[in-house]
Amino acid sequence: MRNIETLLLWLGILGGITLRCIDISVPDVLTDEAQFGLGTSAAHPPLGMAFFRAALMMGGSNILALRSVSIVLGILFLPLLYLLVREWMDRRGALLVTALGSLFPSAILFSRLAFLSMTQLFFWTLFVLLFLRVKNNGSEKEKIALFLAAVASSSIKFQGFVIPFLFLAGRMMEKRGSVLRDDVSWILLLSLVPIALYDLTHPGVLASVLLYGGSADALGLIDRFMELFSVWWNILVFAVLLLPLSLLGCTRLRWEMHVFLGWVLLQGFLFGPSHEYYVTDLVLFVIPIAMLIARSQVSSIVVLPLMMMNAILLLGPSFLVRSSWTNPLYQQEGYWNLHAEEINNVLKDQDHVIVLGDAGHQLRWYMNPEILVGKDMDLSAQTGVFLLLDPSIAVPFADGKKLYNDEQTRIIVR
Amino acid sequence: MKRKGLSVCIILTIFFSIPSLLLLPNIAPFLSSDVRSAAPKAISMLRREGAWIVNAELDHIEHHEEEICFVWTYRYRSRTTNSPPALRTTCIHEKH
Repeated sequence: MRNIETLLLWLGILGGITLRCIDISVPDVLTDEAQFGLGTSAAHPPLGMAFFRAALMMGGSNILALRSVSIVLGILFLPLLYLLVREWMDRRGALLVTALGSLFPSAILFSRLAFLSMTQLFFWTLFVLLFLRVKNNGSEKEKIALFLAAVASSSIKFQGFVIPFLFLAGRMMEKRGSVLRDDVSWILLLSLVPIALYDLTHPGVLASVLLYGGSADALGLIDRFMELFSVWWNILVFAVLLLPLSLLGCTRLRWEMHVFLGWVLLQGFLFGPSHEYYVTDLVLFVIPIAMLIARSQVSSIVVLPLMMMNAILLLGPSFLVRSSWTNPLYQQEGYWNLHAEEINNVLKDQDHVIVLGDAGHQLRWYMNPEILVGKDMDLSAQTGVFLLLDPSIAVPFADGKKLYNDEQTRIIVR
Repeated sequence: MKRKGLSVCIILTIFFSIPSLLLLPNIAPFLSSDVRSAAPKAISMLRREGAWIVNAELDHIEHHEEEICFVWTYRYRSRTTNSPPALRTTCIHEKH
């Protein structure tokens, strides 16, 4: 029985790693991915985007290189998760956590995409691991590593500083009377200085906090919950059923894990429930789920195959298991991946093109000519080449010469 | 030395803070309410030129008699292009 369980654990881990490495170039580069890959998002601090730039410099300007950062960190997250839970669980329990984490759908999905969520999760987890080690009579080297992990965590996304900040608050409450003599408190406080100065001198970051902090989605409380659950269901499907059960496993966790889990649960609600990348961090709930399994009569021999089937159903190799359950990004080949070369050929003699319709940043990834965003331009007397992404816009350009036309895109010269 | 770790962290804090400290003088003009109210209009003017705001970095702000001018460094970046920086100016007429 034990051997079967061990085999299943390792199959789960290796299966999840494999799923992170397949179908990488199926979906189009998404608008956020293009922003991050081109290093042009003013909404976030620079470290996360620096990883993408480095990958593109080393691997060339292609989708695989762009998404390689998330693939590598998504895989490295697994041994990190193992080491984290080994701080209080035995080897077997930690392996179960790792196997469940490996098969968690959102962790697989966002390990395949060039969002900042996997990078953020990796550094937050590293920070929490080092915090626990330093608390346990950590060495001077571990203290420096904790500082660096805290600075790195704060420098990836605009909300990255929250975990180090909350841990500082928790530590100060722990140390109450002797905070001023506590090295860890000073280290955490110092680690927040660089990001505080960065945010002060880069208004785009603060603007993002205000934009995403409630008003962007303009949803009431109940609507936010419903939207959040809908997003979780779309990405996790059956794995979402484990989330309420996991709360039963949370009772025996230390305060650091309560803070970590509480924050990853809350951030989607606070910053916009429709943003799917926040679901990445829910993978941490495999920790209380595994603790619950260890305490209950339910064997991992039952749970692991179900998680495997769920992961394959949603994110299995698209050439083998494409179905109505498959994540929408992998239902079909991306439009721009299929058509960009032909469209660029049509535009090969153009220096710039005016785009009308939803001009996402992915156009700067796929299109060779310079893209001008036509939405706010006065086009009444404008001549040149127009790329129309919205079929309804074609009518005002009826006098233009059509250079290209398919189900999604028209190119007209006027 | 028992607190060597903390000493290293202090040095690293200063090192990591230097790039932002050098940018602090750029923030000073935004203490003016006129500049703060003119800034979104300046960005709208860039949008009317078809520019990508993410490719624009504020270089400096100029105060003239009846207008505030924002001078931007515009650098178009795509997968295949890294255009040389070009200066663009958007001026907002001040109401008195």
